Amino acid sequence: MSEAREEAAWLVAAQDGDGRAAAALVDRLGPKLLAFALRMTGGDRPAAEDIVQEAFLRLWSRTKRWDPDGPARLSTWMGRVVANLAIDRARLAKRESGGEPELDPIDPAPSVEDRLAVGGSLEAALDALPDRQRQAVLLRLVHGYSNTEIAEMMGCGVEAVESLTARGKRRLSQLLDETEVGDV
Amino acid sequence: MSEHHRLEDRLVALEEAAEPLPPSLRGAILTDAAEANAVRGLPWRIWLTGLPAALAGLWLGLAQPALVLQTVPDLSGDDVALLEEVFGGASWDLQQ
Repeated sequence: MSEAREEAAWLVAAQDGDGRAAAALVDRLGPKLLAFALRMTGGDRPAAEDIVQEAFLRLWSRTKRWDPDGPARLSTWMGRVVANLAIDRARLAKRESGGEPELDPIDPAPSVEDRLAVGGSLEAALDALPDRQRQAVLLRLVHGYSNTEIAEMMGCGVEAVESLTARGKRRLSQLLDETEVGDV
Repeated sequence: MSEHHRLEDRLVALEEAAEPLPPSLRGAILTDAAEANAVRGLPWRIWLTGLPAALAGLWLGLAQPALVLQTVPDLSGDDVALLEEVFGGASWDLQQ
């Protein structure tokens, strides 16, 4: 049985009250989703854990049965739920804190302190990106969503996604540059 | 390999990254699952237990006014009128 069909079968069993199937599904999907949520939230662990719990709650509460022969994999659907929850959460936090313009026109070069703090770690460099640049880079370059899908998730235009991705990638390179040049 | 491609490769590799679920989070998710699935099964349980009770109530109201009045002897005129309206056909007033 393929992983996708196995996951779909576990979901059906879990929704019928099989606790072991629910645990198998959580153990299969949970760790990757938590890693994804941690990256999307810039390393905010309590937020990431809330997001993963909420994503599973939505899965358990689905009234429509999962179609194992459908086009979407369960893990893909869950990834999208996590992405949407993380984006909504960041948007809400920004609104509550007074907010900053969504597309800041100037990207200052990272300071030496920023680079030292990152220390060549890609994860730390991602965490150091502005929220929306990080989200765009993760969704486009790590998880392979299309620009159109990302635009829909982030509530902006495709051009804005392209700009955020390009600027995020450039900043990542800058953050990683100095330490890595030293490594070569 | 250029730095540009190297960064992209490193980003792609992140897709497989995993972070073990803390036991408290895993437990909370499984508790949610048990509760959500209990709620999902509820309509059938209500149906199975509620239907016989509803049928018994209907039978009492339609065919056994005397039995009901025996249990609740002090019904007012308004109560009787209401019962007659709900269970049209049964002669609740005669039982008074």
